[in-house]
Amino acid sequence: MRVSLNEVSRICQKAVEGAGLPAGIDGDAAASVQWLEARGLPGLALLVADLDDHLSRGRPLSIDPSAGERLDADGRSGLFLGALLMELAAARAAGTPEGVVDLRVERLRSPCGLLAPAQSLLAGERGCRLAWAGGATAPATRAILSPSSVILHAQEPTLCQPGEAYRVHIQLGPRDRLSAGDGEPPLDSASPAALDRRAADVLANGVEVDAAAWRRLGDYASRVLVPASAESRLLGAGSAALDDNQ
Amino acid sequence: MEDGAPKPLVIDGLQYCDGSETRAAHEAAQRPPLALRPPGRVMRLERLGSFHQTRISFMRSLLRRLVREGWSIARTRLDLDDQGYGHAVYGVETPGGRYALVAFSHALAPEERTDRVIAEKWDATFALVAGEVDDAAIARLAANVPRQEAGRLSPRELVLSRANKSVRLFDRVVASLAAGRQPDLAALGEVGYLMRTTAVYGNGKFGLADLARVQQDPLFRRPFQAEMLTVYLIRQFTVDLVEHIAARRSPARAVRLAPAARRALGIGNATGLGMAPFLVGHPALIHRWIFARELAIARVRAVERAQPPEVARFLALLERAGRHVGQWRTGDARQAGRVATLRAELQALAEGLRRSDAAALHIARPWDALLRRAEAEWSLEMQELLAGLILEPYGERVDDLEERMTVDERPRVDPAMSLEALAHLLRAAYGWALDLDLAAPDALHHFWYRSAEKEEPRLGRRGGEPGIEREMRIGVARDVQGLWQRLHRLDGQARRQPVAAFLLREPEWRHIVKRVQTLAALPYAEIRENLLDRACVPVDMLRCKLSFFGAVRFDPKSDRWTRITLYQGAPYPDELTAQSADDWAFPVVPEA
Repeated sequence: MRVSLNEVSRICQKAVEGAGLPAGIDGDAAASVQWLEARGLPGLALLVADLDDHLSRGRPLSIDPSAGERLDADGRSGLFLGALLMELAAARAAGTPEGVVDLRVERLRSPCGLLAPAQSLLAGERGCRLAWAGGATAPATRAILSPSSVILHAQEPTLCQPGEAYRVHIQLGPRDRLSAGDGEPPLDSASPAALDRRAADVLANGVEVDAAAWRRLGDYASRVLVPASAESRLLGAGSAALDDNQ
Repeated sequence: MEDGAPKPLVIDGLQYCDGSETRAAHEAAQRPPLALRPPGRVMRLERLGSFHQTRISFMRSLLRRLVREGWSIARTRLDLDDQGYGHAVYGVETPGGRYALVAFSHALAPEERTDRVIAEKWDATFALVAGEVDDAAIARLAANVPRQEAGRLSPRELVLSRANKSVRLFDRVVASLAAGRQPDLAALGEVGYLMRTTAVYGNGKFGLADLARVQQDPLFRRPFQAEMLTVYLIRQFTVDLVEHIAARRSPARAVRLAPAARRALGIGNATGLGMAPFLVGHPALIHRWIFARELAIARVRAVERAQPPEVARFLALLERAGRHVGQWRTGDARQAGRVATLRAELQALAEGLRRSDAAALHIARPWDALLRRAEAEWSLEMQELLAGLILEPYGERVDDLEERMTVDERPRVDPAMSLEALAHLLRAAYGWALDLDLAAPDALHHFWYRSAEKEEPRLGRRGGEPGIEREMRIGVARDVQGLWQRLHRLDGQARRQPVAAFLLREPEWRHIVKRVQTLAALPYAEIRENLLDRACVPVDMLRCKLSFFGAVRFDPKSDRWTRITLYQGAPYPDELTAQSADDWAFPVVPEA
């Protein structure tokens, strides 16, 4: 089925809220998933898996930032924590003379949830390098971000697998201090031009989504709704029994 | 400023009368400082609920643009049966491309007709479509548009809407026209519309084009322009519909609506709580709208001397406004009282100006003096009506502000800010929230929630109705106080940590920290009230937004929903000229 980006954002926001995650995290996650889906990357599938995981574990979302340059996400999701992690990196970079920071995060699910917030924090000549590895699959994935582009170096276009936890390396600083390094060449299918084309196609034609994932998110989203009642129908919106026909 | 009043604070070329320390966007430095009305005065619910349309309201702006850019509108299909059921298509040629309104008219049993968002059938349904519309497109739309929320649209469709007939008026007008007579003008004026819309959807809902796609066309970069165009075309359809039915009923005798009768008809609208969360959910956008309005008012207040044509224009519109308000009917006691007071105040002002040969308008800074007098002596309705009225003669000074109604709504966070600085920011920008007494008995009386019935926002009584665990985040003041209390439980060292570290430990504050940091620099973003209080009147929130659309004849049916009229008095497409497109404010229905 095809949906609009706005529908992606709305269902994600309500699903995250419905799953009981803190206010504000829903908006962060929705923005990340919308960004990914707009570029043909599997944000919705990751979100479904991460919501299921969050609820099954039944623990707070918070992590302790006092561990210095190496944090442990203990399997929490980059879709939920990505914006907060990138903002921590930005705050630490602001405290250094060169404005450079290295931050490592262990055991982070869905590290591609860092892409959207990373790009939104960048301006001017600032850049960001993200790298993640781990799990049973691919070699390291690297992303080089500027305010206007994302270059992905990866072997697979899916970038990260639902359910896997990764070691993540975040570098923020002047773009000329960041290099792609050795490893996978840029992914043509996810080059800046390709991502831009996909984004334009999505705007023109909508996003093709997996019906099962959409249904699952709809189940989570429905948790924000209050069951209807005659009293609610009558009083809640304030209309009289006959509110029209005039 | 009066002696003893706080010295105005000038920040970036903008002057704040109350000395509030919020930052503001930089205005052209060449202009002298302008005295904007302080946000502490403007952003109160009762005043927001007294807003009137102005010349930079969206509908007014759209019609001027139609003429300026030479848009053409023509009906290209009318495929209706004798009862008026079927479809019609209206083509719009613009500099940016072609659009079309596709209208479907349906048989509807009286007992099925409801304005509630939970309705499943309507008298008419509509879609605004990009490009040409052929038979295949109409067939696809016919399968989905009448189903509204239950259907699926495509990114070719920009807007989805529906409308119901005015039972009081629709059949009477058809009967009159079929009998060869014009309908009673008084009846037309009293109701004001043949049909009323009950929802106008855009921005990607139900598969519609995303806002980013719609705004790829510069024509639609200003807010709600696609929706305003849709309603304008729906108005034309309602006239075509009654004329069609009358002609089919009585081919030999039927007449068309006379121009005066046609002008007396706008499009009604029933707006309920569904619109209220928008003002809380889009604060940066609300700030842009209100800031533009306040800037327009400030620019005109700064006029040193009013020229004779400007005085004449103001006086003419003052007289028209008086007659318009004289025809404003509402069954709501609160609003009726306000309208009665407004009527008397307008009359007193007009008479005073007539007796004195408008002496008060021939002094230095006459508009500033007029608004100061209004603030001292007259009701909020009068203050806000006059605030809009003084703009009318000064299109060249204020119309550019139409282009300043949009904003990038992405949050602006400062992750390196210390918690100490955040606390200072809270006090400076949200002192109004911190000073509210949320422990008072009725302070948390209400909670907002979304019903499972089409996700309709509703208002419940805390402790008296189910659903509190699914409360919507409307209580900004409560959240601000919660954050303030949390920050003050931290010791000095902890308060030196950056916001980013705090939020990783305590992500439950993410929402309110993001909001405070983003909006602290936007003085007109927040409604400075406790929206959970028993005394909160949600219809005031609706009116604020509707005034920016250009709505008139606010007729609350309760504290939670209101009827309005859109485009009443506006020229139809075949009447559009530069003059007519700019001269339909304060519509008056001619006496029979």
